[in-house]
Amino acid sequence: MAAQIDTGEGLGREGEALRAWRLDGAVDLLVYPTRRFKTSLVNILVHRPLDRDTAAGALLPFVLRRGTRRLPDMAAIARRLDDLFGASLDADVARAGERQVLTLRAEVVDDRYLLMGGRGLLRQCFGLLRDVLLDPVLDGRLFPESTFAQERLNLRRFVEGLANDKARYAADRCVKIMCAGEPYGRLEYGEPEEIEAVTRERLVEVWEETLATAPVEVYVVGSVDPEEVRDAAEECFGAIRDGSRVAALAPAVRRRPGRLRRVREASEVVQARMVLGYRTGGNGSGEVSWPLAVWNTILGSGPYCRLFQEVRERHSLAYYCHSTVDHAKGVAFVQAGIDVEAAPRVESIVRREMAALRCGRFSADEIREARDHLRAEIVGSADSPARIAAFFMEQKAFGGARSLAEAAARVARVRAADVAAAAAEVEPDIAYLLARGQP
Amino acid sequence: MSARRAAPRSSVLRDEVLAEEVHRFDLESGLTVLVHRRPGFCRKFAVVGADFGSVDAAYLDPETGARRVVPDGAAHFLEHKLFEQEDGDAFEIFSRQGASANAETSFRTTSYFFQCDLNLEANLRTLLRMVLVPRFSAAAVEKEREIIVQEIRMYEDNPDWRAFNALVRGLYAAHPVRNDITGTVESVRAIDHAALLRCHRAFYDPGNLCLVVSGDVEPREVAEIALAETLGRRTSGRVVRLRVRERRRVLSARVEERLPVMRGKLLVGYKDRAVPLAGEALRRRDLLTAVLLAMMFGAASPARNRLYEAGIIDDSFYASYAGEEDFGFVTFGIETDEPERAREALLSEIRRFGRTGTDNDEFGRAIHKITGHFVRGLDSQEGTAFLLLSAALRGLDPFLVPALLRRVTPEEVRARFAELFAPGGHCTSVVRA
Repeated sequence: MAAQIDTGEGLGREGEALRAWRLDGAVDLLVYPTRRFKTSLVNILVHRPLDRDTAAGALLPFVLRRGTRRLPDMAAIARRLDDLFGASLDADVARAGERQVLTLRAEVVDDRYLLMGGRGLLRQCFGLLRDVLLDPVLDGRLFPESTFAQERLNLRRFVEGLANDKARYAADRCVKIMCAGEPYGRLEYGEPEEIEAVTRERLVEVWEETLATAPVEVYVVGSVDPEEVRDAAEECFGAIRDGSRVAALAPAVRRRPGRLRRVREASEVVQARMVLGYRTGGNGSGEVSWPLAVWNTILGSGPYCRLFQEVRERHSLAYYCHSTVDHAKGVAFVQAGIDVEAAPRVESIVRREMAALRCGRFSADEIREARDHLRAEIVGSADSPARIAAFFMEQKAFGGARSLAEAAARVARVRAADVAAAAAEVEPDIAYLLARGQP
Repeated sequence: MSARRAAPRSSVLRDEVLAEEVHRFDLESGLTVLVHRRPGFCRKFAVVGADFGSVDAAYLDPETGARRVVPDGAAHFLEHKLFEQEDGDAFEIFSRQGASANAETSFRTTSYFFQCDLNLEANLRTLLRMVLVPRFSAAAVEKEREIIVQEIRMYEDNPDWRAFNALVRGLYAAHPVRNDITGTVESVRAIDHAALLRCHRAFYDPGNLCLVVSGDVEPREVAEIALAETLGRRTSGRVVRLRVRERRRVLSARVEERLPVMRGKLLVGYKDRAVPLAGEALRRRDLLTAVLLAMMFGAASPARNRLYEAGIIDDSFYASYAGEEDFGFVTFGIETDEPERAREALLSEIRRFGRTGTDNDEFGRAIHKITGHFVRGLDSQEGTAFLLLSAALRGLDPFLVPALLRRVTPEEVRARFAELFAPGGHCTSVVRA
């Protein structure tokens, strides 16, 4: 039997309420009924640790979506999706803190907006997702050799191809070096040689282990009746019923940096890429630290921020220069695309701005603007099914505000002293540069 | 005594099935204002589009009638500089008012946009002021040049950008679509303050602009703000653009670039001969093309699955179409280490489609899929605002798409195939290490 679970207060919007159940002690179902969208969304998330099976985990969704017993190849699945008025079915792998999150996501147009007929589209998508996750084409006990070999090759090539995006490549290299030995130092897709080392046998074991032990969550956002969705979910995912699954994964490793490390790597790039890595303070559970979020917004999250204004607008040293924070892990990064000769100047501007924030040298206007931005972002999450699902996912994984309204209220309470205190906990760990010539 | 302001001409576009409502106001200044109502949404999204993009390479000066040439990259350069305001950078002004702003330049249009939840009026005023009145200095133009050079350098490291620009240069001999939207480092160095101001005078006349706002807002209030910001302005009419004659055949059958890439890129482009077209004929061309490409290479197509299973393509494969009144081309993109083999396999599938023609089930599915995608796209405020903007610039009703799709026939799609994939019309672009 499905048990109601307490997950917070939804978004805090009138007339829309989150409903959540734990199905047979295994799968968590979160349903957010709303009539504001033309699209309904179903997200199935499977949480795994980032570990030595990360490459196999990453391969799973891509092998699973190759065919089910009912729809034995990709063409058959695609025809089915087209019949469901261009419903989409996406397989993906993401990283949330030190978790690897495997995702199967379906989006489908709501029946109400189709003149050509089309009824019960969401229910049909549900069945399809169930088949992809639990009832794939197997050859004996294993995934078919040809499917397996091809998806392994594709994933390896995809990961190798990430190097074509120099900004991303530099950021990935910086993370790997800075967090070597920590789970976070693993790319969510695994490394090319790890992907190559996955065997058919190991992949099936990881699939079975994952279904038996990993937290599985199903999110539904759209014009739905929650009870009907619950019944459909029980029917579809009732097979996952092991009670011994891990309720929560281990929190991310937190570490204070030692001496600043300087790493320069050579690449035939036209533009040099600088990535500065930091360790932040914040809550050990991985929930969002709002003072740190305000700090990041003053410093460099957008074009109105200090880094953009100083590095680009004032000194014309870069086209992009921005900062990001990963609260779940407790790290921050500053990235810029520059002429290699400008690296020391850009770094010193970044250092100067960070020192200023540590000393509380920012105006009342800056802190107010940063809070306004964050508030707009928080309340704006309610305007997209995907962002609604993402809010519930983060809340469930890392804790924090129980509704969007509460998150907005927490932002409003951040004071200058809180920002300076958060800034004081940010310590440089690594200065990484990707540039032409010898390191 | 003050003169009474006449209420602007207005109309409402409603679609019962899609449950969409758009209010249109045609102001005396020439500015078109569209308000897309989104009850229950917190965010407001606003965009001003100027009918000025990288393809507008020459025009007749509205004041003197003289022929003027637009330097390559000027539309994009101007996009950067209009953010400069007397009381600081517009990014900062928007930020003070709780909005995030940005801008982009395409072949056809330059768009300036923001999103906010509060202070819509102040942000709309900032947006309209920055677009209507240039305030940048000659010194600021000099400074901006280096930022744009860094932007171009960033794109030069991007194999997709390199392959695509090379492809378009291979397809077109004379049409300005072949010029990089950003211009080149050399062309950008040649753009000065006076040239940018001339472009602004010619292409930022209110009659050449359209404002679209999407959100839970009162349409008349938006119109009042736009009216106040354009008060006393009169349009001097649409600028006359000078078009070049483009040959039917491609300029080069093959172009190649060398970059230190991990994986190579193959693009194959087909040059459309269905030009020039305008209005409904243009939209029909685009819809037929979308149906055709979905049938030929959509996820459900036999060709796509054959290529996938043979290991020739992976998820990075795409088939897309870009086109305006006087240009158009299909692009197929494949990431591959064996561009020759991939190219042969792709061309062979195109020939095969031409021989075997269209299957009615596939046709029906393609129509369903494109209809569903169109409806789902309306959930995005940005997407809908840009759809409305593009429809307004072309003089079209955006919500007619599902009805038009219901009327498409397989014969029309077949005819479109013959037109688009005629011999001599394609170019291959390769980027490899």
